[in-house]
Amino acid sequence: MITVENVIKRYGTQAALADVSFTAQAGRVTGFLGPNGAGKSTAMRIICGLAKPDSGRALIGGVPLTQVHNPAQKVGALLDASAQHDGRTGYESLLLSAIAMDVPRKRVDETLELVGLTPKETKRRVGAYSLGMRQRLGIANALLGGPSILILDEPVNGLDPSGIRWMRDLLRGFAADGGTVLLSSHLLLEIEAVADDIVVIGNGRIVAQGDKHSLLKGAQTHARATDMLALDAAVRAAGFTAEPGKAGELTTNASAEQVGRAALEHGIILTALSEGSAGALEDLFFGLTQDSSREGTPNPAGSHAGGTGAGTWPQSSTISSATGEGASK
Amino acid sequence: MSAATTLTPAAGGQFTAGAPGIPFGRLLRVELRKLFDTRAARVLVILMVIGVLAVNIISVIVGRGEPQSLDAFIQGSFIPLGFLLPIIAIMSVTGEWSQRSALTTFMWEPRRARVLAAKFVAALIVALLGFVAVAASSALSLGIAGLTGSELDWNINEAIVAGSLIMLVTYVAQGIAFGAAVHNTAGALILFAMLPTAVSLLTALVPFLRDIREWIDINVASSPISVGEFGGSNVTHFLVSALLWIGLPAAIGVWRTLNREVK
Repeated sequence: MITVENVIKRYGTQAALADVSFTAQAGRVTGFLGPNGAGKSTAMRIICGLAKPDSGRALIGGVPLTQVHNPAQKVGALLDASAQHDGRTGYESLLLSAIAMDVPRKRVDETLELVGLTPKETKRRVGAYSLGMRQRLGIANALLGGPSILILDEPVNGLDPSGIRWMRDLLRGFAADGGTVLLSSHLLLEIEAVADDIVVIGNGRIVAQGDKHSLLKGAQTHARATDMLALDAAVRAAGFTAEPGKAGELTTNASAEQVGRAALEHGIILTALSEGSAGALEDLFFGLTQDSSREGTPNPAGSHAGGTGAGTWPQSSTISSATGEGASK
Repeated sequence: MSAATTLTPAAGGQFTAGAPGIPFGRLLRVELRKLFDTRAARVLVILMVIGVLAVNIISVIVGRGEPQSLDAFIQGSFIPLGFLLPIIAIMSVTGEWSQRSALTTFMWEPRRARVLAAKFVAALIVALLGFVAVAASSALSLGIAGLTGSELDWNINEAIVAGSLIMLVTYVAQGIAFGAAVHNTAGALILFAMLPTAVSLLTALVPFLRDIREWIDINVASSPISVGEFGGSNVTHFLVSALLWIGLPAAIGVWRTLNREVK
């Protein structure tokens, strides 16, 4: 259980975190999502006691990390895979942690095997490791003490597809056993695949948080028809929004059933109809963080907001230009 | 969310059962290991061993047939030790920041001042072990010198040995303090090597500073101590200059270490 309460952190005049509060529950994987520079890493450093908040506090199981007995054994953290001494072997790095946390040496071998580093690899200096190997070593270090809480900042960076799959299974299993997982990523699909709860941060503010399903339920429906103009008019006539979505689709706040009924009523032939599903989180993400991302987010809905609908409907080629507008904004 | 309900004392108790952080002894064990488990540190240890061996072998060869004393061997062997041990001490502190291993270290023990303390004690232990090793190798060398026909003086001048040991400890403490204050290996090494010389130069040139040089110039203040002359105001001068050269950077170093964000 991780609790962040009203944390404010400034660097100079720049507010990295502006009154951030969220929780990560035991038994669940909490995905921490946001664009680069949104404040994910700063928040995680504060949770781990490596940075001090200007105000507010971060608690682990109800207490600040600085009061936790043998903290690294109870809280496994991987904040940056490259933050390891290049001159030490992988094995030695873990052995130091084992001594510090007072866990048996055989845990070192077990954990290295668990993360898939061979004995030969662990005898090499960390300086010679690839990013993926450093990531695995960092995960081994986080798991070494048998913690009940895992805090991982972009852990799948540099992992190959099988590594990503492995990580996903590991985190799911960890949470299923009652552990708390806080996992940051800018990889939307990764978060969607593994998280139970999602916390979205943009420009130092939490813009959304909650159960993944309830967050995504409010998301849009995407539809395509042979006659997009007619579909647009029909959906609007039924009292819903209609905006150009990606890949030539229409995006609406109506449910799939409501879109289907509107199409039936007007004799429109639907060629695609989907609700939420893949990419839903991406929509949510861009929708919520568009004001805070670095480069005006390619958000078709945003760039066409308030568009008059009819007349802007494309033949599918305009979608890419809509995206282009968004990006150059 | 049910945040409040799951925040039971039992949940907190799991995390606070026992004192915060980890016991100092464990931290010390780790920091002792860390002094020697990197490639750079191993190179320095090998250089140190080669240096001590070279001093002994050269002394035996050059001084064959002439009177030889244990004191001279010990004093000579201290030179490579006093030169390289502070570098290991500096790197043990700066490496945490330049190699960013502080991210791991301060998760083991969030009370960062204790980490610095463990590094200092670890370096001190190594300095004392180094002294024992030097004493042993000096005795061995003197025995070998006897085989070349040298007349041997086995007496130990306690004051000289104590002076050498004090200087070794001073250098190590200074290294830790400079490392803690600067956080950058190259920067700390340059300051450690150059700053005392620069101050010596200043005190030699500026009349006002020349008057107080035995108080502020650690090179001047330590030269009688290093040869075991503890009389007069030598000790007072040395303590004041040590306060300036160890105490001040250590205070800056502790403050910086406690307050710097670990990235």
